[in-house]
Amino acid sequence: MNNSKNVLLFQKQLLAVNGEFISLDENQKVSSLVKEFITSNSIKSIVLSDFSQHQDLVEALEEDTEILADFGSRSYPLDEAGNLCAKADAGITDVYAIIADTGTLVISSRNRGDRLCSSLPPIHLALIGNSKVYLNFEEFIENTPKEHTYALITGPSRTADIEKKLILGAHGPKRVVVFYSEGNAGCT
Amino acid sequence: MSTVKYKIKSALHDQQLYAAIQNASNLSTAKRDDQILGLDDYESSRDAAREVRQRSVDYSPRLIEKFTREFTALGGKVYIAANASEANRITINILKSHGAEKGVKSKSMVTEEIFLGRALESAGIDAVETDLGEYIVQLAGEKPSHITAPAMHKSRQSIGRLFAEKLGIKYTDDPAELTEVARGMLRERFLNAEFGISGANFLIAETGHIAIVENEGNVRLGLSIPPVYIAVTGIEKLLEKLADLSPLVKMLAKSATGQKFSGYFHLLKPSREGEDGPEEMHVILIDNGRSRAMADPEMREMMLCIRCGACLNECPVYKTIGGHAYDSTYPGPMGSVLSNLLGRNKMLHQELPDLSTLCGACKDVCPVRIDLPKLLLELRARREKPLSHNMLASGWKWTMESSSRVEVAGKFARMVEKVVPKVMSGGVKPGGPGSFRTQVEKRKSQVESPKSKIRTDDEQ
Ligand code: SF4
Repeated sequence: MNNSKNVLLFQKQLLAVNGEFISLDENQKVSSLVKEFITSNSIKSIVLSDFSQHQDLVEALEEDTEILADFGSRSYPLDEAGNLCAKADAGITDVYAIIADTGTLVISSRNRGDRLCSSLPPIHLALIGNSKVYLNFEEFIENTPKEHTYALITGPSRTADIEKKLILGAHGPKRVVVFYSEGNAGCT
Repeated sequence: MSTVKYKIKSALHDQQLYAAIQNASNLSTAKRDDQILGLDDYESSRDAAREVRQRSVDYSPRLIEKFTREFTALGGKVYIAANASEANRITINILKSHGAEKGVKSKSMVTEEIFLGRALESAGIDAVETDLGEYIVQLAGEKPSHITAPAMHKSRQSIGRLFAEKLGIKYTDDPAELTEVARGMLRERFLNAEFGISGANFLIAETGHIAIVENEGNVRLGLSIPPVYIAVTGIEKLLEKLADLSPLVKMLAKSATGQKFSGYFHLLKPSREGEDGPEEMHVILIDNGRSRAMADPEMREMMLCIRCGACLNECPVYKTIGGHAYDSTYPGPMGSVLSNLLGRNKMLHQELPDLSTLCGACKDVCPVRIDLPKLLLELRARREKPLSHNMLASGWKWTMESSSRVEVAGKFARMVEKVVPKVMSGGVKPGGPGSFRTQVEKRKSQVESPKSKIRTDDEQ
């Protein structure tokens, strides 16, 4: 019920930590917006975490860009997976949950692709249409299944180790772009 | 002359160092203040954070047991190391059993404390530091000078020269370009790493999770790609339950880096069937004096520390001499206490409790309310006999009357010059041109006194 307010707060906080937020209208499809982003940013190759439930997205993306690894279609040995993800211009994942008051994405350990696609390529595209929404860390930690592992990601990777100057893209992504579709329109 | 005095002397003569430390710590305190002033429940949040840490130290043995049960039930391994050499041996044995020779390491003060890097090197194991600041100090053959900002003593120019010399790149002092160079060099290392080593901020007894905070994404890569992952941390880092993270997480990033939340927060444990994660996970818990400190009614409080580094950034002494002058892994107010509790014997760094004006700034910013001045005084009292040059004890009362940090630094400088006269005979006269005191006096007149930097209420 409070979700749309929380998503607005999430958007504000995400922007404050140098993240990007793209929101969809009711009649837009996620796949077409992601495609648009990929073309306008000259992204030549991508890696996908598990989108086996959303084959339409995979098919749509295939038309414009090379899919180096698709973790929904098969499993990869760790070193091969790492190398493929490191080569890609962008990685696309869905997101287990978002935390509104810090602009945080929560990635769970469901699938190897989630981790690698969100950490190795220079751009991480995160689809949050189906994500759980929590107001703050406290709410997340109290309500989340305890048996999994989680990575909480707040904006692009960053460092200020040289004279405290903030630089985006230390070891992880330089850009984190979040796609949001209200009411689960389209896929994910 | 003792090593500490010698190092203070060198630091006081190093203009570049002074500028770098002042710049970095002033920016850090400003960012911290921004976050903290935005909290309407700062004091109660500190109470909550302290309560969690107090409980975790009080029940530490029980929590270690519970954590070990949970973690090993999932296939992970937990080791308790009594001291540094034992911890290093355990780490090396794990790596040798895999024939692992090349790997990646993330910043961890505990591994600095036990000189793990050196131990690995002599065992023929190549573990590259991947945190940018640590990478820089490793390349330079130095130790970190700050517990959260390892290379804060270095200017961009000196990092530029270092990279040009050691990495064979064209000189640049642009932080973005230097970061990009390190990213490129280390990518290769991540992709071929046979193991990953990191510290841990907290361990959760209830669930067997390891909690790690970072910003660069190097911890994330270090636990994503290599098959073997080892977390090395102190036995005081256990928390009872996941919910205990909330008050700590609320304070940690704000106090440490002036961020609302850290860039990455990892909650990991050995992966279950079909889930993602390193193939093998090990946790090494290091005692190295901690259980002795926990049993010491006065010093026990130091074990609550969450290593945010705020007390360093605020300390007029630290901001004047920098971290290396303490000649210990842990510098600043927290380091002056902690260094005397760790190791095989107590009080290995007897001079450090004197490196404080007792102005109380450290206590004011500590997110878990550790009464550092009290602990420093207690350590001074415990020394069998006072050091011949008890550097500050005579002057602290006078210093307490001051209200501004800059003034405190100036007085500190005067005292140092008084008690280390020989130090100053190397060309610069106390109070003479180019002397540290003169530098501070000069700066004093340049610094307007910002309101937030004046503490009048709590100094006694
Ligand atoms: S003593 Fe307090 S302020 Fe200093 S590092 Fe520890 S927690 Fe932070």
